[in-house]
Amino acid sequence: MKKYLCILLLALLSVACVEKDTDSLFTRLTLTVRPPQGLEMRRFQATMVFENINTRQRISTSDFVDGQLDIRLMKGIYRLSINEGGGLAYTDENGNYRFSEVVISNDPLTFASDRSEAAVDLILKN
Amino acid sequence: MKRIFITLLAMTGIATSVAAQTPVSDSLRAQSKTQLLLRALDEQHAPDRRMLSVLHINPATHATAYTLDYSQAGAGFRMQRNDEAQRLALGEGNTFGFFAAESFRRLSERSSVWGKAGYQRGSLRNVVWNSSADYELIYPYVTADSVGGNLTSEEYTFSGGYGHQNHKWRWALEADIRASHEYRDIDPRPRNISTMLEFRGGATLRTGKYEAGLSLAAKIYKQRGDVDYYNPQGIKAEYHLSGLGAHYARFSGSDAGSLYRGGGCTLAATFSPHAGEDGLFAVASYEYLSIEKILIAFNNLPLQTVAPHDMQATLGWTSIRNRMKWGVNAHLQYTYRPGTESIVGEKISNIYAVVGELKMYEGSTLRTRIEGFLNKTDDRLEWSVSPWTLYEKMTEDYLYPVQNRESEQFSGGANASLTIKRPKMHLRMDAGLGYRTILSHNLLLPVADLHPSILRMVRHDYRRMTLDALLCHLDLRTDHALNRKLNLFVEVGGRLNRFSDSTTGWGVYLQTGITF
Amino acid sequence: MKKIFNLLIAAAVVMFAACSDDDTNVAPIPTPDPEPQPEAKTELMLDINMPISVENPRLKTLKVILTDVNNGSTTELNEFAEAGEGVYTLKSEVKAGTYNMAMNGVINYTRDNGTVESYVEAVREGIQVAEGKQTKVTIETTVSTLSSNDFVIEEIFFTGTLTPDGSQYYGDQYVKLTNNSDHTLYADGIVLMESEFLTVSKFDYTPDIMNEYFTICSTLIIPGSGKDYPVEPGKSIVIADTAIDHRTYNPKSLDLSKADFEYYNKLDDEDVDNPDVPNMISSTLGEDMRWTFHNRGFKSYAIGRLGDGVTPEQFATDYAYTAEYELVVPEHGTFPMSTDAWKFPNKWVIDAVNLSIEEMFAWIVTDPSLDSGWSYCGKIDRDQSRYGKSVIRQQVKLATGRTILKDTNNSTADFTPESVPSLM
Repeated sequence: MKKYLCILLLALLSVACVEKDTDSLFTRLTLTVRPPQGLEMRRFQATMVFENINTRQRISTSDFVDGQLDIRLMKGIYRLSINEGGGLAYTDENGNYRFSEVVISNDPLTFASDRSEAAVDLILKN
Repeated sequence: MKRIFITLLAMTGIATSVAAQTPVSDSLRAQSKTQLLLRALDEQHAPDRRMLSVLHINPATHATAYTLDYSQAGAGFRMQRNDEAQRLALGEGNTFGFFAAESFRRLSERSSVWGKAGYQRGSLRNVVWNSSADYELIYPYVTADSVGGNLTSEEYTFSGGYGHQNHKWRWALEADIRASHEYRDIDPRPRNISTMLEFRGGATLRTGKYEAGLSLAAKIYKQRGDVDYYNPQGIKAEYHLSGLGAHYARFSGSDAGSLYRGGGCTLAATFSPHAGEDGLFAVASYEYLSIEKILIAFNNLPLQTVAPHDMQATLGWTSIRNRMKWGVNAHLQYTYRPGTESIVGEKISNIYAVVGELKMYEGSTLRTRIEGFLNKTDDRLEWSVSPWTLYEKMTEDYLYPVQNRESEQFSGGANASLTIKRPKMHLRMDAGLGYRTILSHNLLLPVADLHPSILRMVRHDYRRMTLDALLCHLDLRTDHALNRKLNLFVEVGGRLNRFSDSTTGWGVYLQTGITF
Repeated sequence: MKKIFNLLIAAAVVMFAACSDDDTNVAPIPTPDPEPQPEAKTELMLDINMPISVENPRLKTLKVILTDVNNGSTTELNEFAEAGEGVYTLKSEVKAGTYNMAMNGVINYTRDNGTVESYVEAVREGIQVAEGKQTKVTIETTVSTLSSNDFVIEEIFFTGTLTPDGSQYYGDQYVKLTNNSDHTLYADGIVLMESEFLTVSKFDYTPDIMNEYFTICSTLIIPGSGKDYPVEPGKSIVIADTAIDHRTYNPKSLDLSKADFEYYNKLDDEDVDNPDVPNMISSTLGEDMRWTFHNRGFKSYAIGRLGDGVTPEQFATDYAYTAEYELVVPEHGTFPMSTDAWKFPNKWVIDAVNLSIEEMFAWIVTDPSLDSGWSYCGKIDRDQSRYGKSVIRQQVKLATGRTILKDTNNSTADFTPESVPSLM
């Protein structure tokens, strides 16, 4: 009997301190921006805003390298937008260097796994 | 609900009257009914019975909890007031009128029945940041607003059990039902109806002078609520809180209906000396509960789930065979309370898709209590002293953005009681004094990222929970024999808590009724 | 017995010692320090990249506000240094923690052989500064191109007002259009449109034509032959629901008797016609329908011009279409639905404004190229505080000294929500 009481106490001890696992809350996202067809990207300069639709938290970043961004986000569904002035320096079909401000689609994107990849199409502003 | 309550209460009355006609032992019959009633009262209040009541988690031990039949019915009034709410969500006080009846009857040497019925109606004062019922059960997933107000509350409770034994085995079944209704008649107008059903079954096996037992219980819970505004100008926002300062921002606004539903089970093991024997007693239990919050207005969207795990263990010793009785026990309780939120996708064609879940909230409470009693009783006087100490550590975390609230407290005190016994009257006085001191506390909140009014609420509750407090209470009860079969009792009591910021909380109650 | 009690005490000691939370999530229990030590600070370095869309950009002034997320305290930083072509750095010593950053600056750049001054802004949330380790953050700055060559919607007052006894009052809503160009424009034929779709309910509509058309439920068209209603640069016209002095009926309302145009429905006994104010033409409203502003802000609005040779009557017939979608009701099934609407070509749209509310926002109902954001009065459905408020486009001053209305085709950035109506 005493042995069983000891085992019970030890079992309680073992669950007494539960470690918090926060890594599982996040996704490592690789986001790629794609220029319109026929245009060659030279540089993408913009602040991308990720708005978590459920929490309303906004994360802003401009850490794009060659049109690609790696970011750690809380898993969720996000609406992406580009801050005013953000744009694309590109070479057009005729080989001319140009810059144009861009927008992206307003449709939300879901990032619910530990590793996510997404691509968004850039729309040139007129 | 009223009809069910009255029917069940009538059944209790029928069972009681049937029990009254069944044969009891000759030695007990020899004593007058008045004396038996007063002895039964003493047995109900005996400190050893109170200490051993922890075993009643197994209904089989409840079946042999008392040697004497006892029934009581009474009505009363109780009131609590606090200078400042300890938790804004629980209000600044309450006022209730109530009716309560309970009965324990030995049908024979082998079987017994017991039951309780109760009704209360009253109001909760200035409840803010809580538009749901059963706050402590569904926490942290409460619907709330910053306006609040007084709430009207009524509650029905009924429980009953039956136990049977032979020379080796005991078994018993129990059922509880609680139904409550809370509402407010001015904007914002929450209306919540909740029910909790619990079924328990247990058995014990006698081994020498001890009994070992197992029990299993199942719970079903449901709460339906919504918040209306009659003001044609519109509404104030209702928030779906997620723990500490967080809320599910997407669905804050109007609340056209929330449903909480869930259930759980409890497994318990008991070990105790056979009735009337000295010896070691022990209880270990594990309870799992899961309650889901569903937004009815958003096409029955499951939004959040809280699933507390509760583990308890008690170890003690009672020595009750002599006139000087004593007992000591240590009780350990650990509750782990994780909360999960749904990742809700886009709303397309009126449907919200759930695309994942995140465990965002973790709460834990560790509680250790050591208490004892010393009790001496004779035919004219009974006294007892019960010292106690309590250590409690509470931790809450919201995982992202990181929030943390924790406190560690130690309290200690003693209760003393004195009962003056006369042939047709008993007078019992019970007083207690204790002190709670906070050993450590911490609050970490991302101030810049939280809604300001929710932040104020969290800070208020934190400030209140980190106050030292002086705790005292005094209760008086007198029982008078009206005739051979009926006693009248009057009970009055009060408590006073004085906090280290010079605020106080007090409560009084008055109850009168009959025992038979 | 003694052994068990000893074990209990040992268990308690071990448990208290073992219960340690994740250090990164929980601040240590504070212990009193007899000699307070200065808080350890860490270097935070911001690399600020100038916009690539302009020539020879140079940073003139900078203001960076760092907000400590945990206690809300702020630190303002202004000193920066040039670190290369088009790159500036700002260094600061801050204590470890988590910060939100808001940056405002003024840059000069070269355009048309002259120097132009412009504002740049940037925000970053959740910058983690670890103790003892330099933290470096790169900020890209951008300069937006402001559109200023046509009419824009300057203001939409859609919420209406309340009477002194708290009842809703109707008829005092209006839209203000402004000539944002530097030359006189004519308002004749300007079409004011209201969206068919709600920004708070998203369905998979078939056909999905949003990238080419703006789907609308009604139009009001400014009359005229083409040169009847000139509007000078920077001047505005007001299109009122009912062009009367509403203060006669509701002291909390406003005076629209001087509006330039009004909507009048001769089939509505309660509508009032101001004979001094020209009536809008409603070609797409049915005889039994009435133009109303959605006073909770669930609809979007736009202005445009009909294509060459397209009359209002032709538009009403040739551009009508039916949008189909499915409505799912849980436990009841899926129901095919349809709605009759009109499609206004995006290339005819001059300006568009999405309106919604935060509680229920589902989607914008214009192509992102027309408007990629939305504005609002009220944050929750039936918000008590929304009445008597409008959305008003912000003003910006160009380098030439001319003040125009900000138009980046993003109503989130271009409009000030919940403003006091300009005519109140």
